[in-house]
Amino acid sequence: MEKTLPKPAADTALERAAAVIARPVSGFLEEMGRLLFFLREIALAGWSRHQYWDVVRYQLFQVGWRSVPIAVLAGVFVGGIFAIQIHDNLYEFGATAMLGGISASITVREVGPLMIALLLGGRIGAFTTAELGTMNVTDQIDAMRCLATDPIKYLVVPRFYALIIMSWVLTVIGIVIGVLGASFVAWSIAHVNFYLFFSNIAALVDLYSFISGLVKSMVFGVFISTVSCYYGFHTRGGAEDVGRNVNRTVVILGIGLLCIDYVLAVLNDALYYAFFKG
Amino acid sequence: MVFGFFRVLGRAFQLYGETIAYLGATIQDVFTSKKRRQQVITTWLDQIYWIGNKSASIVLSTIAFVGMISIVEMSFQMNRVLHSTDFVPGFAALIIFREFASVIPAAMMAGKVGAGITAEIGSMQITEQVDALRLISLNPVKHLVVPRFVACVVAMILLSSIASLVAFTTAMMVTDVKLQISPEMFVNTALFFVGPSDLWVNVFKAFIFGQIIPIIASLYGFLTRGGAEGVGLACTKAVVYSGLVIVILDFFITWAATAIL
Repeated sequence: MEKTLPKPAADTALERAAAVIARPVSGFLEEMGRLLFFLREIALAGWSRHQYWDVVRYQLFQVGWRSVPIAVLAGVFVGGIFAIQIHDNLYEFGATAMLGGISASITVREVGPLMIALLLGGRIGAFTTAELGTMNVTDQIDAMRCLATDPIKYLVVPRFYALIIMSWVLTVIGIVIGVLGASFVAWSIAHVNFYLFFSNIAALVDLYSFISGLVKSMVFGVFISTVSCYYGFHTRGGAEDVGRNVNRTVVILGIGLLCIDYVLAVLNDALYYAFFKG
Repeated sequence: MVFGFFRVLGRAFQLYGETIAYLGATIQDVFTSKKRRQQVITTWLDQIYWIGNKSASIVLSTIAFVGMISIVEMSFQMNRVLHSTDFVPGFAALIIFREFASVIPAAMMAGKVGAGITAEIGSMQITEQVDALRLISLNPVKHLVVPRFVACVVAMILLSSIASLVAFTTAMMVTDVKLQISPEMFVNTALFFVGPSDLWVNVFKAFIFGQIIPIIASLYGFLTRGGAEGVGLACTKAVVYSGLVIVILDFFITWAATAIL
């Protein structure tokens, strides 16, 4: 008869406290590792010319084209909000002439990519987890494997490509619309005319900020698609677990996007001052 | 499509009016009947506990990062335009108290709590539990929406007040490390820019957003049709549209606030 090993007894208060702290930390690290392995699987399946291009096209339509109206509407108002706030700050220094440059620079570097990422995370992230999770608990993914179709290649890789490409496209749209909204607010509320607004954009927005914004939005796209597909794929049990995983996706996307944004902002600053300042 | 938009808008206003009306009726119940008082207060506290507790972790950890990001970004921009970073604490505190402390928690609550409310009411709708409630002459708005409405408003005001302090603290930490401005200097500069009116704007925004989230979420819950797939679609719609309405209203509130104050 097989004997079960006795649990390591946590006798002292210190050991118990260590166990309480260690469990969430190790759980977090384990989850991160699994996410990275999932990303590796996606990269291996996606690194080939033979893809399901019609599925990619369908996903591009689903992810991208349908988000354009929301991106435009959100872009106008977010650009306007930042223009009002920056105008308030600059007004006390008599530097309202710089309003256009600063709002364009902030939109390109930070607000545009983050806004589009939060929008895509809310619109696509939770939906993808729910979709793939439902397919998983009704054994559709196993059925796909039986028909010799790689589910990662068929389900995940098209979403991955679509999200990266469309987060670029939507970021560019969001930036342009946001700057237009800011210029309208500057004209109507802050009394900065259009010529003054657009004339010093070129002085404050350079190619480097634009590229850094696009790199940021690409990282966000990779993060959103990996997390949402991972939690959809790793749904066990029934409909209840689908709900739980959708919830987990929303939380991790919310915290993770802003955390990544902070890290990238610090890196971006360091790189800018190291290479481009002079 | 245009008519669909107006129909949904009309339903939203109708639901809002019904919620306010039944909220009044419920408050009247609280003051008149003792049995109902205990029931109502228990339900409300329960909902406040669930909604506030469920979203506290995500709201506070996101707003912590937002405070840090705003310092990094503001110092970069101000360094280029004003050639000094002395006023960065003031600018960052101003934008934290006026915008981020209410909008970021609202967006996160819409993703977490709003989607939860839609899923709950939507699955009750497709399994005809809402009709069953009507059948035993319990009004679904009074018994499903009003407690969540109250809980969302209370939780939103509390969370955005805490969130402003959290963002302020993390901004202070980053400023100390990055710009070598001591916490005392940070508080001094920030208090020079931020006044009590900014805190009241923050609370007002939280009050408005806390009403929008449960109304839109339960509206799409009641509009759910067509099985489990429909619930998923309704959740997505609720999250996206409440985020959009929050951003749009935020623009107009900010505009009005800068014009008045």
